[in-house]
Amino acid sequence: MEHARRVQGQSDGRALDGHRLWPGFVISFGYWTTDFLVVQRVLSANSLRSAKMAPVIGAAVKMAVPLIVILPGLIALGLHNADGSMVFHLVPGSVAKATGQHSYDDVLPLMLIRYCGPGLLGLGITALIAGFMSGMAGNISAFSTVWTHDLYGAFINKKASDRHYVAMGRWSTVIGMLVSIATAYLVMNAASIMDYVQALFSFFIAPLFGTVILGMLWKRATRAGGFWGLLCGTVASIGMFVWVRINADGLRYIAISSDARPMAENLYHALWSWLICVGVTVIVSLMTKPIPTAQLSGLVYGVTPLPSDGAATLWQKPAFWAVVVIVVFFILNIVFF
Amino acid sequence: MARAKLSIWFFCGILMLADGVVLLGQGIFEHFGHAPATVLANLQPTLWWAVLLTLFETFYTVRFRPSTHSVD
Repeated sequence: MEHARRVQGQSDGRALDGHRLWPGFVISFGYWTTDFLVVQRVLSANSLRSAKMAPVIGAAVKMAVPLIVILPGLIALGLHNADGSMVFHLVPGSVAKATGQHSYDDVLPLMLIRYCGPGLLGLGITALIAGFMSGMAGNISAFSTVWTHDLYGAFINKKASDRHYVAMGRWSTVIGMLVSIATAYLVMNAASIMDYVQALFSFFIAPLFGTVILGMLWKRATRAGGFWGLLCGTVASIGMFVWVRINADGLRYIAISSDARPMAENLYHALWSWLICVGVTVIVSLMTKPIPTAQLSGLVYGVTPLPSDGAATLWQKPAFWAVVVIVVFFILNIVFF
Repeated sequence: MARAKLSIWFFCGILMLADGVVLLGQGIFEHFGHAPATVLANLQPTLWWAVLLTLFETFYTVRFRPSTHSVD
């Protein structure tokens, strides 16, 4: 445990304190409510209760991700030979490229080879590939759906036949795959794929979360408010990204700390862009004409009759399982903080 | 004659049952003097995983077999 704490300390630079938790809230809540990969699974549920349970089950499984991405690394660090030397001499990726040694990214395959014989090794690699493929398949089908249904069908060609839309969906899947392969080449030289993903999250997901949450819960929000809020939030996030690229000193102002590490940058972009989006949405909405309540039925919480999800016992209620997941989440965070 | 609907869980069951059976063969082979050169091979992880997968996925395959379970 002590070793784990030291490792955490090394990677993080310094311990987390209270105000550092809030940026994480924006990105994680944004992920669960606006990332279409998550939302499309809820939309395809066959009942209201299934739709409510889908993200709860997803969140429960997601809590196990650190077991896969962190634990093998910690075990590798803790493995020593009889003479006290370390079993794995892992080095950063840039060093590994020059010297041919194993980098930190190789830890999971190395551990698989160390412990799994023929057969079991195949199963482990199959499981990893299946995980990557299901994520990719979900993203590509989300891309195809959004393009065909929400952009092409809604704006470009409104009166085409179903056959035409199905063909468009198929073609956009192929093109989406080619674009994603090209994007992989684009970020091949990035320090970490995580930085790139978090940057995109802070550009689009964080401000969109502000728009979605206000639109769902606030009757007074207007179309113009949503549009300008989202635009300002996204532009502000991209602006902050460019600012730090041009002048690295900008990070200390964005993250409100001179000790801020590059990984903190995207979390703070997300927080600022969310705040800007919410602020602009509220101000513009209050300055524009409110939408009559009758038109908001089915769209805004509070003016929409909520149907029963059919849960009879406590075990069937999504809210019960959501509370269980939250309690386990807090316990895990307190134990491993 | 109505055709029985195939549940996605039946598909998952037979797929992983096939994995379990293949691993079971490998695990038994390793048990009889062909242990791999991996760390902690004496604990026979392949055999134990194979037993777990086979039992669990046999249950799934039987539970969601087409004649008794509808996808609705």
